[in-house]
Amino acid sequence: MSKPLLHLKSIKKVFTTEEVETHALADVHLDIHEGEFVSISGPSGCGKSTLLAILGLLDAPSGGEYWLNGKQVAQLTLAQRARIRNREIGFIFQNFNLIGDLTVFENVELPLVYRGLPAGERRQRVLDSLELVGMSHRAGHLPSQLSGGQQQRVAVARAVGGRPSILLADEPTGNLDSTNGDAVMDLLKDLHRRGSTICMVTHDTRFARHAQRSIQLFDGRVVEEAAGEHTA
Amino acid sequence: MSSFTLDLKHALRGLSRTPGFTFLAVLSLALGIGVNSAVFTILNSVLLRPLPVREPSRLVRVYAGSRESFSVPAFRTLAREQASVDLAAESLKPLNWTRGEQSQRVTGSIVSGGYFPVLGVQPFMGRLLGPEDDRVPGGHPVAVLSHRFWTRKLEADPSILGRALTLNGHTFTVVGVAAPTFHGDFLGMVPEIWVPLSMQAQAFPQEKRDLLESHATSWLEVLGRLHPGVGRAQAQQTLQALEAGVFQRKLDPDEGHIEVEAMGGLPRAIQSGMGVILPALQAVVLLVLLIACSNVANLQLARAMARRQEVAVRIALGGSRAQLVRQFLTESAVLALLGAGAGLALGALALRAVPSLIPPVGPDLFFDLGMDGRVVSFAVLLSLATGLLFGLAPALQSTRPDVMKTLKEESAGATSRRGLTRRLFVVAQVALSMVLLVASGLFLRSLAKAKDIDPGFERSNMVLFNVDPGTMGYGRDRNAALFEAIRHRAASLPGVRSVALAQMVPLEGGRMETTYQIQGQEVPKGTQEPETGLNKVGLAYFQTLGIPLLSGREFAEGDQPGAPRVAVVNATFAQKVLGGEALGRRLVLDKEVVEIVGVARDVKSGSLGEPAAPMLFRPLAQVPATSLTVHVATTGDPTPFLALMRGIVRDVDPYLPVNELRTMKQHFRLALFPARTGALLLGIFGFLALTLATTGIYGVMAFDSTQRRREIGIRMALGAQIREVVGLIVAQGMRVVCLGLAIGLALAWGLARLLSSLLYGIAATDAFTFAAITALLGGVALLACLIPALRAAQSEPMLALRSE
Repeated sequence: MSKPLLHLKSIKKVFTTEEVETHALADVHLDIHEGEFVSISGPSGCGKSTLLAILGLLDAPSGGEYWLNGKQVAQLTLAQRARIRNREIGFIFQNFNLIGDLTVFENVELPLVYRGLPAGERRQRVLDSLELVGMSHRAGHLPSQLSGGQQQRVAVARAVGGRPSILLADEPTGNLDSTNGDAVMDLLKDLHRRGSTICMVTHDTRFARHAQRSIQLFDGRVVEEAAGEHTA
Repeated sequence: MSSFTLDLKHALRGLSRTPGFTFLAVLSLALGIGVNSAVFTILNSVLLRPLPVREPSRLVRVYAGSRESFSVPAFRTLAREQASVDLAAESLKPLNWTRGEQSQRVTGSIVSGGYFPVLGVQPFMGRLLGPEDDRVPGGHPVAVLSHRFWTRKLEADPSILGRALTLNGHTFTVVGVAAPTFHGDFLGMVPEIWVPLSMQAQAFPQEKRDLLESHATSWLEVLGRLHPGVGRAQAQQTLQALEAGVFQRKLDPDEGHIEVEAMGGLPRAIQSGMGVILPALQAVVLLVLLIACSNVANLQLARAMARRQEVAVRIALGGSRAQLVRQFLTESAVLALLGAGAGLALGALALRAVPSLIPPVGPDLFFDLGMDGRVVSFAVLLSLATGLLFGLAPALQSTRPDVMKTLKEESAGATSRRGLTRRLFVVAQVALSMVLLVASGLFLRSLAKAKDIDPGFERSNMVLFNVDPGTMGYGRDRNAALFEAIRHRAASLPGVRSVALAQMVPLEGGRMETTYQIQGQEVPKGTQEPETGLNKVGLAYFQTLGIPLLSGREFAEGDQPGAPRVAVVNATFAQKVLGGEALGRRLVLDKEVVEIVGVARDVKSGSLGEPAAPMLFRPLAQVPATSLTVHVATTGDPTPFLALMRGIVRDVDPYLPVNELRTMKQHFRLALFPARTGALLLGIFGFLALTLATTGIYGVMAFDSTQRRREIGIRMALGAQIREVVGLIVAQGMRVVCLGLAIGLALAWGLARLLSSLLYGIAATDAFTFAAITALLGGVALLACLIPALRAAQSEPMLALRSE
């Protein structure tokens, strides 16, 4: 098998308050290969969000190794993490997290601005991404003028616009009704078919089954790993 | 579009979408920047702005040691016998300008031929005075007008060149008008007409000595332009080397040596005073700015809390902290620039009120209080510096959120750290406001006390005016006859109770002094003769001014030059100098023996705040003076008599101007000018501070209450009463306020002592003021806490719980 795109080895995360040590993650091993669609699920408090934060370089592990695209990224400075996050990772959130003051176009453009791409290239990529999610006709609208499903499609466009190595989706259907939820899942499956690597956190088994591989977390440990129904 | 342009675009859009925040932040900054710009404009005009002339950095003032001024021969010698600095001389003198049948006093300046060339001033029209106008004594009856005089008093007459002006009864030909930007080289006292030094005898006929030749009379201010490559120290050395020849006699060691100083807009004595007052005032308004900035910082912290989710998204998308801080600081810079613009406009508006602060009586003062590039730069830099400085803390704090937590939640409670920062800002605001409010309270109390101070003389029904016949060449006898005629005519008016003449008016600000000896008591060798205040007064002076005589009599018709010399002393003189037994005692004044014939009650002669000091009165008949003030006591309202006084003087001599015509009440207001101005300025600053601090406290409490809606909902769901919830929020707010009050009290207690010399009738640590200000600030703060607390406590618990 090829070298994994993302490799976690003995990852630990301990939160320490004045009196208590909480082990959020303990000895997590995980490989995600390029083009894979992996779902992570588990009960509330099992460490899903902590794992996603570490995968997304929003937090650093207390111990262990984290290799992304062949580079050790477990202990980097804030600025280094921001740079890698911008280039390698695309986020899709449960509550969309679009910026209300920015138009759809500007929301999708934002990570490309942070990357320092020239205006012309940014524009082309934004238009391509919006086209991909079927939202190019709403480029000038504000998020408040869109439905929940439309907002999540814009969030997907924002995540893919930077052509990241991996998409991290955190309960992407959690704030949507079933119709819009299905539509977003179809969109993710479509992206996967086009070659995107996706790691999705969800507690909805219905959607978890769409992934190629499903990982179960419990008390900060990977307790089960199984093949899903979806195939590329 | 560059990142900066995008930041700017987003900042402008974000600010326009939150108009309430933007308005409050810009208003706070504008108030702070406004008062700072206004005060800095004054400081700039008085201390910093160079004269609008060629190469002002090379201009110097030359002082003759402690005497400061030079005689004409001394100046001429200095100017002629060295090659380090081109020297010029001037002296400001009032001139009587006669136009038709009316005369008025104008500010004249007599200048050497080198004055305009040395300064490098350009004419607006015609020519300026030059060396060719300063050769033959009495041979150059020419005058240059200030642009202000030409426009205000001659209606900008375009045919003024070559026309004749009657000054002090002599005809001068107008040869030019100075550039509009040139207002003389002394700030405030703006010459209206310049005449050559060679015309001294014609311009100042009251001077009996030939001032052009006299070594004994030093009356010229000297200024100069350093030659290229010559420094001030070198020029000073060169001039000092000429001292022996210049002064005709060896300088007294106490008189010092010739000094060369950089050109300032103010006379040296005033410059040093203003050099303290204006920076102190600037420091006070910087306090206002600090309070305003605390407001802005708190507003930004609150806004950052509201935007924490947006910040978390930006971080998740790969925005570096530097990029996010830059975004925040761009917003701060935009706010700062908006604040600077609005502040400059407010400052300009405030400066319009400055002329109304200048007392309506006294010399015509003019200050060019225009905002130049330096003021604009000051305002922009100050607002950028404060805006960025106070924007930095919110920017740094809000760009390190708990990203995952924030991203997953719709809203979250305020973290304790941010709450602490906001509370610290409130503590600082309250403390600084306390300092300013105590200062303004002390001045207001002092002003109220000053109004109640009994000056010791009649201040209600009286008219005053000055007449200076010496400027029209009156001799001693004509002078006496003139004043007697004026006195007689005024006294015969119905409604006039009494009329008296005097050289000095009480509370005029200045003070005449004389040395004296008690007859029979030798002054020990090595000690100086004692000094006392002096006024030369006419008949019925004490009666007219309502000053009671404690013993003896006032001056009578018989106190003529040939009669025994007499004097009246005040109670303090009688008590302190003569041990209470004054009548019949003899003093030696100027080698004359003078008998004390009366003791009058003490009056405030110099200022309202002064302690009682020895004072001596001499009769005008025995010690004449040329320039006198006529005191007219009326039986009722003196206002209608103001117009009549001009008529009386015109009847006696149509060419004599009536100067400084006012009622005693107006004159008294002049004496209150420092107290009134101090109270007004500090009152404004204190009010600003109070308003800003109140909004600051209200803002923090309102924001906290909103953030705690859920907690409040839970408490109320568990059965808490409204008063308990209100009490909880108010108590937390007031703990912060009380800390600020305590720090403010300590600071104010320490700093108030610096004001003690400016206060009348109260101590700098006046307990009433401190208590009242504490109650005022505490009360307003309590209201600012109470309103948001009540609003929060009255919301429906379930709505509050669901809002999360």
